[in-house]
Amino acid sequence: MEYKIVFAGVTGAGKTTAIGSVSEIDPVRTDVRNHDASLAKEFTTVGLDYGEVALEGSDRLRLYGTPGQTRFEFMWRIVSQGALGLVLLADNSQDGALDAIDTYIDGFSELIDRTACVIGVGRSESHSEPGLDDYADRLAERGVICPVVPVDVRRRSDVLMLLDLLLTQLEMKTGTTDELF
Amino acid sequence: MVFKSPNPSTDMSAMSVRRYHVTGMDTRCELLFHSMMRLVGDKAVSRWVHDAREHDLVITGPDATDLACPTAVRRPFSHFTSGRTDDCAMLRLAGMVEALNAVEQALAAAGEGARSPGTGPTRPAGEEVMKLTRWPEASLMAFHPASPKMATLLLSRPMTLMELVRFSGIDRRVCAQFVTRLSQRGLLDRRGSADRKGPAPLRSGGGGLFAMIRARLGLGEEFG
Repeated sequence: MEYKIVFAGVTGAGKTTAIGSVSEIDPVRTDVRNHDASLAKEFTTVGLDYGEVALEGSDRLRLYGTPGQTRFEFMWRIVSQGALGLVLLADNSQDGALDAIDTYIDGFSELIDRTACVIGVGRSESHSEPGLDDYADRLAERGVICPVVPVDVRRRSDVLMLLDLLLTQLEMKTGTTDELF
Repeated sequence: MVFKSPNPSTDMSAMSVRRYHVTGMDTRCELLFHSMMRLVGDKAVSRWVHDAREHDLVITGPDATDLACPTAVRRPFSHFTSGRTDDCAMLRLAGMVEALNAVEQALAAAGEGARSPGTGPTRPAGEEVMKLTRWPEASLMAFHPASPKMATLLLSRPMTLMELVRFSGIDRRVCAQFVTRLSQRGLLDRRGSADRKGPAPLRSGGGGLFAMIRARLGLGEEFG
């Protein structure tokens, strides 16, 4: 069996880094040189990032990072199919970080409704606004009650915490794994 | 991460109280047992106090006589030792907490309520379930490094304090304090367990999918 968890969020939020910090294989990246002057990064993801964790036998947990740009929204729906849950990364250093959350809540609404979601807010130590409470308020306005925690995706322990909180929700919400598919 | 160190203070007044009695044991063992109970008193789901007249639990030694309170749960002293003997030297704190929580569950299942703090009316232990109505404020989450875990459990399904302790593996005092703070902020929807709906939580033990994932990622097993 193959299972998957989706990592989403704006370009530069750290999806590729987050997957790389827990993947057992060298992540497959589809980065190209960035020509968008508004983004302070040399490369950006245009396809899916991919990492995996071997389970028992031939079972695999596949970790997919979706491209951040909204023009790839069609891929969000495709990769969401059959996924266990969503890790949504925010980048507090970017303008409109809070509004961007709305985009992903809309784009992944079916996955969030069906499974679970956790929000990791990056660079909140250097950029204190919007605060974590602002994210929680915005989510609550949208009817989404989920964990909102500060993260540094360069730290494996932080990424594991996100996955722990995601798994905890799934374990508590579901009577059987069949309900997820 | 920005979480602060846990607050060491304990809100003992918020803990429900269970009463126990010891009979049929030699003086040395009984004294040691009482001492151990005082040590574990704030680590179990309820606070356990000795009461020879009225009690929920009777610990019986080899020379046990009639019980003062016939409705009390009766457990042999060996139930509280780490070995298979009645040797009081085999007492271990962790084992005692486990044994007391097992008794607590048996009492709750039988509908025997723990006493509220003080001499107030009884309320069935573990009957009231709580669910988080929104993600708590950052200032509240700074209470303890395990706050995100506790909050995530409480938002995922309605549960009792006892269940929160069991599912999280976090110290009962910490859970109780966190719940108290959530309640003070009006973030908990509290109701009787009869109102609980939905499937039982998935146990990840026994080779389940989530247990496999946790094991591979090096995340702790959540359920005992």
